[in-house]
Amino acid sequence: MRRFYFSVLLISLIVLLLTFNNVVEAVTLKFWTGHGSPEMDKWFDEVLIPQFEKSHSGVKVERLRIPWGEFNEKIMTAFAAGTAPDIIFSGTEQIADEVFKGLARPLDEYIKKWGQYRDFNPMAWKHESIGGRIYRVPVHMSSRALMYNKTIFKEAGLNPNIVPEKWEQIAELAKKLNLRDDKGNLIRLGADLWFNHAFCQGFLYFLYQNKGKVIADDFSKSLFNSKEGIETLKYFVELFDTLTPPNLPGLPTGPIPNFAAGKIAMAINTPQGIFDLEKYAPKEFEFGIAFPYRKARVIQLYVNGIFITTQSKYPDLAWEFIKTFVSPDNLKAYNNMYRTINPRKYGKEIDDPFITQRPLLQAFYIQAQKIGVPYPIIPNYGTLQNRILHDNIEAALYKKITPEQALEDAAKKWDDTLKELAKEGVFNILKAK
Amino acid sequence: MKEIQREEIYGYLFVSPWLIGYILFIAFPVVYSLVISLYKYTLPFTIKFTGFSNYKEIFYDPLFRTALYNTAYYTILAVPLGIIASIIIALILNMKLKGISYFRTIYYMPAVISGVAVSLLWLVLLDPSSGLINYLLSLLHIRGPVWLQDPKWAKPALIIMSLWQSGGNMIIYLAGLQQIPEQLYEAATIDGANSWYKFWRITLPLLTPTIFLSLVLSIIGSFQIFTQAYIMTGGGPLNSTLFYVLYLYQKGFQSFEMGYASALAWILFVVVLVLTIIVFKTSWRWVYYEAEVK
Repeated sequence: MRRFYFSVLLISLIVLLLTFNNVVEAVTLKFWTGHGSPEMDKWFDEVLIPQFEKSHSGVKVERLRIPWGEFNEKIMTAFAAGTAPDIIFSGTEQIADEVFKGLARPLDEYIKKWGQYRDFNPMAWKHESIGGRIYRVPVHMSSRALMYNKTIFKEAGLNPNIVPEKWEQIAELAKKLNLRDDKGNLIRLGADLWFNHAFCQGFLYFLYQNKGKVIADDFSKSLFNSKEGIETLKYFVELFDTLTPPNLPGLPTGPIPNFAAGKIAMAINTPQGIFDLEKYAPKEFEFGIAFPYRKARVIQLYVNGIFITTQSKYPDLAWEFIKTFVSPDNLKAYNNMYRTINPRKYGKEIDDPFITQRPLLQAFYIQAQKIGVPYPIIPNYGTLQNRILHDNIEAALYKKITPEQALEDAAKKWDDTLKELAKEGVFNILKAK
Repeated sequence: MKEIQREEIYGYLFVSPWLIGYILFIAFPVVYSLVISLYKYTLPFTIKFTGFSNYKEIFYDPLFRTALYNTAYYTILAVPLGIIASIIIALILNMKLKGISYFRTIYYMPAVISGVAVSLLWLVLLDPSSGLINYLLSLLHIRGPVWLQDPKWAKPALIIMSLWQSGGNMIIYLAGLQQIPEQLYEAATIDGANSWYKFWRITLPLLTPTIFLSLVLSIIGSFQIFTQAYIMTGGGPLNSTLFYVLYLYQKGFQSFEMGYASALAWILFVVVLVLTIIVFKTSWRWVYYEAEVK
């Protein structure tokens, strides 16, 4: 009898301990990000995460920053293995794959109850939505503008007050300012329009200014092989041939960015590039900023957002973390630290001295709100943009094929791939209510 | 239990850690890759059995042909040039001179530096305007090409870079040279043979087993060229340095088409196997072993 009672007591104690253990066990949210720097990591670990954990007792956040070169690989393999994190802070181009491959959870219900939707730039939401549903919350935006060195303009006998906005102006100035020595070595590049790296993005940058489109809204076909696309690529090829033909050396790269060092007269640059100028450019250099246009005055917004994964067991808690991250104070601190554009709207005037004391950065903020349009959403961008479009534009730049042939061939391959994806049901999510 | 049986069990127990590791990390992935090469397997969730369609698709893929061509080009030039360079350096370093061991160390050092570090170093050396290579050419009044920017010169640049690391094979040839009996050279000298004759009739024939080993290993190695193109050119310009393994990597880890990439891997295996068999089958014509009578 004693043994029986003892056994019952022991079993009850074990069950109690197990239950108690489950109750007090902390929930751990896994948060992965491709963005960051040592300064940013410190801010996450010492400010944002403790702030969230303090207001949500029993919840721990484990952060992991993944270098961009391995980001997609790590995310895809984690999802395939069923070990994906709860929250991912991802890049501009990744959104299509995140939605179409079923990695990101729709956030509409959360955002409806949140009440801060209208506080953000509507173009940022447009980028983070596919098929009428929102999948990511915008955290930071970047963009591109043409920055120019007024001091070089003055030295070359040009009017430093010219704002190189029109394509013809840019081409004329770039040719005048391009300088080579008698051995053909480049001493000064007239304009860095991303010919030798990311020329796909360079082409898309100019395409938008020419009122061109990239892909249909329903992802059924490509649209860049239009008259506007061909005009854009011809312009691009002509400037490449004049400024940095492939048979002549380009500028050597060093620890100091060439534009800050005064070796490039005009360059497509980002908000982050402004801080390179502050750090490296000689004090006597004066810089200006232009937002080029041809048929349309637009700037592309590279929207980077945060989403809850479909494998998260704690979507509500993950949403709480996202809300904390994108709160007005945190988003302001984050964007100022990372040197990017805050996707939250500002009022009539920008009241942040961090921005107002930097006229170039202020110009980005103003234009992002006025004329910003989202970067195109391209499914399977690794294949469509970085392989097919890249190879064809490169072949045109190297004069292996004409711009018309390049875009026609790329468009055909894009359309075949898009048809294939549609047949596999990748775009079925667009029909879901 | 018999003593022999007990010894067998102990033997298996001792090799079991390696065996388990081999099965888990080599044998299983190899077999698994053969299986998934028969599937349309796109990360993270698309898995569909398609039979040999990946293999069919590969043969119509223009980039597959480009990658195979680039790799064959590299192999055809880099392997023989590498062998010749290694033999020449080994012959020089085989001389009995004071301080020769320091030179052997210096020539071997590039072979032990990591591929990434070597690639970054050569990016600087091959810079068309400020690199050392073009500077040295300019001293000879030769205007150097733009190397990695030019589709015509990008592969030759990587071949030249591979010659810089000939030290690895040089050590093998050095060992081979030191195996050749001195008496043969002494006998040849007595018979009035000059240096070239000694090299052509004694050194080279007796070095053929080493050349055979080096040739097989070099062919296998050069077909797997990856790091240099990945770090220095990304496969460009104009896919001129899109080597086979780089293309396989891009298919697998950038486009996430694991099935297709696995099929590429198995085709590579067959190509390298065929080439190795050809070298083995033809070796009887040109490889001389010391004790052999031909």
